[in-house]
Amino acid sequence: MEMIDIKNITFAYNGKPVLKDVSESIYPGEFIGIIGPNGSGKTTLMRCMNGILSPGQGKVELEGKDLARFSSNQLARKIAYVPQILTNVFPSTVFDTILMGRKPHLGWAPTKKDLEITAEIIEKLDLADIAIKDINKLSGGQRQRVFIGRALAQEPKVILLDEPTANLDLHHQHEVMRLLKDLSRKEISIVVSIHDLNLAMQYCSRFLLIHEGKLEARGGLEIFRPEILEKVYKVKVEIFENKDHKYIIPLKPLSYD
Amino acid sequence: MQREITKTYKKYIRSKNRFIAGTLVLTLVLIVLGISMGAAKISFTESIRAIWGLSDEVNRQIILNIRLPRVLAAIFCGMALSVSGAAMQSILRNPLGSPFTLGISNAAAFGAAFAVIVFGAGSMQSSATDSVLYNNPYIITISAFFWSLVSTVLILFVARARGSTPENMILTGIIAGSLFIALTTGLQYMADDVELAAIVFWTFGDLSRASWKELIILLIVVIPILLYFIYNRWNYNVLDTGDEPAQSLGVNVNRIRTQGMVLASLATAVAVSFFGIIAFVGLVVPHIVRRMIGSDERFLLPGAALFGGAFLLLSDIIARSIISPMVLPVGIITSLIGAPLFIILLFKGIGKSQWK
Repeated sequence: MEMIDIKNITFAYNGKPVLKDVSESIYPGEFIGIIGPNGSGKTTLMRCMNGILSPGQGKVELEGKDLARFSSNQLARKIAYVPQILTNVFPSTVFDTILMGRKPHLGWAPTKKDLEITAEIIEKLDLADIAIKDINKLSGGQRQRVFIGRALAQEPKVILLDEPTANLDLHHQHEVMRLLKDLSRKEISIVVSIHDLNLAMQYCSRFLLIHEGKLEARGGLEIFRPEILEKVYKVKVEIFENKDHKYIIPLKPLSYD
Repeated sequence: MQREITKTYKKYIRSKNRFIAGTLVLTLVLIVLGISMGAAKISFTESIRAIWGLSDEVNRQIILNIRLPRVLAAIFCGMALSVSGAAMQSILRNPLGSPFTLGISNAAAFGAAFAVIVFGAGSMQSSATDSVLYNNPYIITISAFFWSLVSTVLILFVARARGSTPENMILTGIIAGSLFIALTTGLQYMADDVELAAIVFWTFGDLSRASWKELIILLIVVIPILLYFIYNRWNYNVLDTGDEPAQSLGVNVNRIRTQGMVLASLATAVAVSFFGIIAFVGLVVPHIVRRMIGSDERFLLPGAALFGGAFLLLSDIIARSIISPMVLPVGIITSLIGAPLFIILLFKGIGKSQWK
């Protein structure tokens, strides 16, 4: 059964259309990469999927029920969202930050179970040594793991991440993507928006290519064809393939012809 | 391993609870000190007897009708200002947030000036303890409160119309503040010497204006607001990480922000209208407490409230005793002891151990 069902959604900011009639279904355990140029509507699509924005037309369903009919707490128990830039003005420790993921489940105070879940996630994500450290003093890779940890503490069915690998070095990019892939194996649907196509191709199970607010292509690795990428990204590309992997080599922007 | 992590965390939490417990003890000590100190020498045991009606009438009058309301007013006024400041910093996601960021103090000062000039509520009279007596203090209080609310409504209006982002709130606060300063200056320009002195004197925060009547209104307003902020501590924690993450964790950001601002403004308006402008407490007490126990709102909000109460009470005790029998306005003392205290904390790095 579909986890998330996007049904013909349209969205406009101040009268300017950003999403035009987008439909898609996302299933449990999928690791979806949303790709597309800057301003194509990737982030807007994500915000519609987590209920922060409500679409002008159409609807998004979670397990067959319209998102608009969920209370904000109910929704937070099903969908976790990791936005791109997360800076705290005031310090907060790793443990406290992950514990906040229990917020939608909390009564007056965190129970023993909440603390256990938090400690378990900290151990799993290898954050034990820095559990009482201020998150503002962590490296980009560590911070990203902390916020993925917070998303996990929500015990969601779906985790949406807006460019989780931006600003990370090679090692941490792969570490984060690997972690997300492992999570998707546990029947959590993972949806990321991502610019690095080669990175996405290595880890994601399925791709949604957005161009000017429309789904230009969807599917597995087969959607990466030179003519599509040249149309969408306006870059001349070559594609290499061996038995395990497929790579895109960007050659030059088309406007330089 | 997991048990280790939980243990470390619990130990870390315990240090915060110790701070709160310590502040509570400090407050009790200061209450005793505040009640037994003053021009009339009344011993501590005598003060306690007076509270239970076992003392002579004069002592009873002094303790019950002068010192006790003043001590309680200091505590709750300090609590109101500090907890509003801590909440405001979180709501506006800005360390410079304070109960006065939204222009409340300027609005209240204008209200007082308005009452003095338009209703003729201020006249001058010299006495040993007070240089200015107001012939109608209630009109001044009501007017100050009314104009504080006008300022709050203005901000609420902007929040409704343009969204309650921190930027919108801070800008509106600054604009409202300057507007009221201009209006007050205009009134002062038209005032005569006596009125001018009355206006300026009102702005000095002074707890000697406290009697049971004021105190009861203060308690009715401040206690529910304190509980509201403490009840919402998780929401503020989540809000500290940003609007979108807060929304995705099920927090209604607009509602929390708007309610918080209105209630912080209300608590501040009551305190300021009764006692004048007490600077510094709302801005610096939350930061002192942050340095001591960190910014986890679960501990910061109650911690700042308690510490703020103790801090203002201590300031008032100093204000009463430093050049006794003359009593200084407490607003002067809060800045005089608060500024060095904060600088010491900043340099000593107390609280750094919170962040290894």
